Amino acid sequence: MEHFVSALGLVVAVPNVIAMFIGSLLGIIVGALPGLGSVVGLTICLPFTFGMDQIPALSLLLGVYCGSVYGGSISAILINTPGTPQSAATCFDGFPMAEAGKADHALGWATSASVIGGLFSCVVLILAAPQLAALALKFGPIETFALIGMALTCIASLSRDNMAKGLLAGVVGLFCATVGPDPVTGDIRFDFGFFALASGLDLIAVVVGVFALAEVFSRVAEWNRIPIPAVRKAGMRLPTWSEWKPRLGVLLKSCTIGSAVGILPGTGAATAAFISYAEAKRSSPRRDGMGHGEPDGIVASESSNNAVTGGALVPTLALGIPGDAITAVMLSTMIIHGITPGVRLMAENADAVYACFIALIVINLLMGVQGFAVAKLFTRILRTPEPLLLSAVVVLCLLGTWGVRGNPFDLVVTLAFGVIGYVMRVFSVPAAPLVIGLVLGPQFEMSLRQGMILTDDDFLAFFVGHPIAVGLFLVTAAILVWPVVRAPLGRLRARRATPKSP
Amino acid sequence: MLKTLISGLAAAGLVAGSAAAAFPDHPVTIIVPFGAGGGTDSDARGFQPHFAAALGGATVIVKNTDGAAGTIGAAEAAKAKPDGYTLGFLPIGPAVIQPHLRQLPYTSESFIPICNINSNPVVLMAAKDSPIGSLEDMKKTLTAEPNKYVYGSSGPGTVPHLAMAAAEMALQVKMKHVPHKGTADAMKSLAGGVIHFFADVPVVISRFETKPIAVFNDTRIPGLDSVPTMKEKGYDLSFSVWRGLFAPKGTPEPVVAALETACRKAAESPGFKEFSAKVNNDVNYMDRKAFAAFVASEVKKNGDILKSVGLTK
Repeated sequence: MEHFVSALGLVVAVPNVIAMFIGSLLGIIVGALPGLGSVVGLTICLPFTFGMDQIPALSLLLGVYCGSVYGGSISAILINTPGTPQSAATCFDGFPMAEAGKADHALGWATSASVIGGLFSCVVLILAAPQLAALALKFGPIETFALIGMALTCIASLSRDNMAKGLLAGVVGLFCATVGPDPVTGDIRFDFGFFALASGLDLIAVVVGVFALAEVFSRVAEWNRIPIPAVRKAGMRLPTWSEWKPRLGVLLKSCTIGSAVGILPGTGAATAAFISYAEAKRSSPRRDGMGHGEPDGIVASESSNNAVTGGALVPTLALGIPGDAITAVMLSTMIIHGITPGVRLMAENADAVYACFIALIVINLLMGVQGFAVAKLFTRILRTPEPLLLSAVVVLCLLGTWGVRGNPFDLVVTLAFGVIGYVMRVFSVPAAPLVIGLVLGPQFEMSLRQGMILTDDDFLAFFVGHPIAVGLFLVTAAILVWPVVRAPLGRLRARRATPKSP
Repeated sequence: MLKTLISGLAAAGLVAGSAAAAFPDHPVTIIVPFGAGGGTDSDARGFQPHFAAALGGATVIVKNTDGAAGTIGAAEAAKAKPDGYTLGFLPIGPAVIQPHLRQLPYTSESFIPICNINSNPVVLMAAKDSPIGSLEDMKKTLTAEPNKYVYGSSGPGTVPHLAMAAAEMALQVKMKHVPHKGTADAMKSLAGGVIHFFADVPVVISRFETKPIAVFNDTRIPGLDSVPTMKEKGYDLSFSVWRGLFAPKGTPEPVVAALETACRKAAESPGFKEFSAKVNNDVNYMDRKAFAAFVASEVKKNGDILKSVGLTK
């Protein structure tokens, strides 16, 4: 309790409040700008944190982290361009809502879902960090392989309209993930003699290409044919309780998926959003409307990606093991400020930990309030002349892509995938499976090959003595088989119910 | 990167007014071949203000060029105009090991070593609760059950991998090698019992729960005084992770000399020493003559090990 009180004092100190405010606002803006993602946002702030005190430095970064994950939804909804890969799944229903003139309402759904997701994960982090961290340790390569295998079934759920094309795009995504160094031998694969390809295809570069640039290209191609989506009101309209009530199940499920995915190192918010979206599409009573502007899609994607934030801090704080590039930056900041994450963290730095917890809650609330102000500004974007808007998007995309790794070749990758993304749209091949393949591919391969080394190249050994993995394999099988048996099962039931006509 | 651009523009504005005099008359860029927030990056950013002060208040920009185990950034530094305004802040990996592994647009000879900044010896470690507590235990257990125990690494051809591979050969035992994405991932595997051994710099021991077994160094190291060295146990193995400053080949002599002097001043400044202590780095300044000889010996030593584990190009 005494820690809590002194931590509260640290959090509400004026410099810290300023840090949280600037952090989350900057995060939202960086997140909303296509190409500039969480990592770039943190990198911009990093040099400033060196001169700051412990808690404000961490609050600033936590603010940027949470804000950027939420901010990506704004551009996903307004211009069908996810500001960050984490918000790619928000496009599916966010943009159709905006097209129908309900951009303000879509933003309201995204904002409230993000805030609730973020707060949910704070509670998870505060109540169960050490226990959950122990669970994360049970996930060895074989368990991780099973989990990623399950996550890959998203591709199937997302391509229900055209299975062949969706699976094809997924395979292309997995293939793209193999470009670059072999994770076990270090050999460079598929570089075709170009040194620049040795670093592989960067996720941000590809996402910006197939979503943002492809959107720009198709709008240019269909000039004057698509009317600019009309916004009836600038700003944001929050969903009412009666609208929320039937969607609480989706919300709770997505928050849980997000926190769980966050806790397991190496997966991340983009994966969580896709899994939640796929799950909502499988189980929601409103699934037929999904993809055409059904709030369920926004709720699933946004609550889940923000629920990753607190979850990802579980292994970071409790084990000193960062789950992704974002938490790795936070970890190094902590170390520079004399906080050693890991098993001894709670004993040695209880004040700092409690301060982080409180700051995280405050930031999530702050983010919602700032969302209101920012939404007013951003919805006006739709009133800017389209040529201006599209050119601005292109400039931002290229700037952001270059900013990720400082590698000029990534610009080529973005442009190439912009063209590929456009061609895919023309032939109505969905882009999401490609991104899912690319997101999950590296981890899928790494865990499989690590597992194969451990079992002396015996794949069947994956199914022996790994109860968690076997459980996940069974769930995967069920997910894959269910759609196939559902239809005949339904027919059978219907036939039994109706008495045979004489 | 964005901030490089912004600070570059600001810096350009600042220096535009002053008359061009001796080196440096415009901002110096240090290329860090890894992403922001990593060990090499935070090191370079800690070094940056002291180096800038030692260069007479010049503007020093840290630029991150990430990708392909640091070789994209190292190649950028090697191909930069050799005028001393673009330098590489390179660790052992991209500077010495990677050129052995594959065909790159540069070799270890593409650089003029300016100075070494820090180096940290590598420690062989086991899981906290491991029954193995010494090299003797290790040799006995591993000889009894060959190919049962697993060592991890932070990737193929990294220093932890080379150190473990060399130890495996020296102890004449057989283990499996499971590469990981980085040290943190390997630490998760060590704590979860997936791997049994790992080797990395001492800061890892202070941060995670591990049991140090031996130090790959000629002398015992402070903070781990009770841990024997490989040499004491009769195995002449030493490995360290070091980081130094490199200029592209062809940089004029007076500029190299000026950079060397500035590097010494910065590395030995109380401010940088304090920063290094905070992040558990051992400052180990070497002038360019000593550093060049050291780099050459590292090229040879690591090349030999890579050849014997079958990892050369």
